Amino acid sequence: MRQTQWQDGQRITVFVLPRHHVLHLQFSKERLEMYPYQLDRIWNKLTYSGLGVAPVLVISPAALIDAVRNTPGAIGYAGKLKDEEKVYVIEIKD
Amino acid sequence: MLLKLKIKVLSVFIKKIIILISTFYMLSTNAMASEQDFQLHGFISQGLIDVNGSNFVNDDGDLSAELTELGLNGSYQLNSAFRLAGQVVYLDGGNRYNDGVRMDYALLDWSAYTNESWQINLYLGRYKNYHWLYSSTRDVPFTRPSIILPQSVYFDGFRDIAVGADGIAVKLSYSSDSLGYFDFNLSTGSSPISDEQTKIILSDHALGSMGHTYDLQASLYWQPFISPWRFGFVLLDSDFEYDAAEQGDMFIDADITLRRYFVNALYEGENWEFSSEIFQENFIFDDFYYDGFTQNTIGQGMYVQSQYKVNSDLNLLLRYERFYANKDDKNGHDLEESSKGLVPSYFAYQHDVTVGFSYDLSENFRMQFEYHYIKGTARLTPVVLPNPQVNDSKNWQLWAVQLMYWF
Repeated sequence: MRQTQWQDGQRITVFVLPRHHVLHLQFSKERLEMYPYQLDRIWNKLTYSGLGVAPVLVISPAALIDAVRNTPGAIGYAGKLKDEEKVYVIEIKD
Repeated sequence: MLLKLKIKVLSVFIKKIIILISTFYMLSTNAMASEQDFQLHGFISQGLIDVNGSNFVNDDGDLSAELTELGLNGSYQLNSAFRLAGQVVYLDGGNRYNDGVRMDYALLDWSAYTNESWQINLYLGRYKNYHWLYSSTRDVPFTRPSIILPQSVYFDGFRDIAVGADGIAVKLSYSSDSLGYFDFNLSTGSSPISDEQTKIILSDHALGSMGHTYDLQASLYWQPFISPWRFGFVLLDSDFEYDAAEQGDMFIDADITLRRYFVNALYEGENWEFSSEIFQENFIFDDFYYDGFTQNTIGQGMYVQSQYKVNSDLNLLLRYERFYANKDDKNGHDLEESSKGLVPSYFAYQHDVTVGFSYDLSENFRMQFEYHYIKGTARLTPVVLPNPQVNDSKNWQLWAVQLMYWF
């Protein structure tokens, strides 16, 4: 979770949804096993102290997929995906 | 169903189409990539603060609007290893510290080594204090548990020295599924000290200048794997020189040393949070009053605080804090006696009980309120030669309300 680069040296750009979005809540709690406020704290510390770069906030799942599709080395999450072109997809099931 | 996505052009097309797709891909993604390389963020906040019984914020004790914190920061990724970052802030805290615009940090971040378990970053330039629980963002209102941080640890009189330094900082992180997460921070540098800051620390009668000659800080944090707990250990060693003014100064040249040792703990649960920092400090003076004078005072401080999230917007705060300027004179009898009654005994300690709440009005807009009941005046300025004429109350109180917006 703390990695900032892929194995080939390319930087990872992370896209996330707003902290109240149901998909963000679900992803943080079930997959990262963290509460959204903990993620906010870590990211705020990175952003406002110069320590690092926080994820980029996008307003909707469609905008998130679009941003990942159009940014090299990007990563994000989605509930469903109609078009898998230009993206790698890893399906996570319970 | 949750999906994890990574950009890449998928293959197995005839050569001509691959070239077309790659070209289009490179054109479009490079434009998007350069957008992501530069990030701009900031915050705006304004509050009201009312202090009864001390000059913590102002001398007249009136309701004050001297609670302004503004900031704008930028980060530019030069390439996969190097990044530039900087933040400018405007602060107005009344008597708490100098008001005005400051370059909060301005640094080159070198991502020196990274793999699945290890990350090593070097920060060169003006860096923040990354060692204490809230030190790196102490002026960023929505990142703090309260408007006024515990003065035992986050003493506003020392703010300009403790907030960061010009030099080099190293952050080393290690992640393991069995051992958990480790973060080690090391920094060395120095801070510019203004004449006003010199008076805040020493005395209004200090007409000379103070220099920060040496600063070494280290911290180690450990969070067990997927645990709500985090534990820290922090060391600080700082040296200062006082150059007395040639005429009219009641002090002489001096060497001053501050050493601190901390332990801290943080618990972050779904609704409940606990945090605590406990420290001991040595404040050593050589010369200053007269040639050959030496004084080594050992101070102690701690706070415990709890926060409860009523819902995703409303957060309650309760904190208890104690501070002793001299652990061998906790009730201040020696202080009063040695000063022949000029400095009352309550300048030897400062204990604070704080209650407060914050409410999120929207995603990036918050209101925060708090009330402090304080016994003692050891964390009021000036530090070395206090001012009992102004601070003539053993017990004092403050309340503050602040509105904050960030992006």
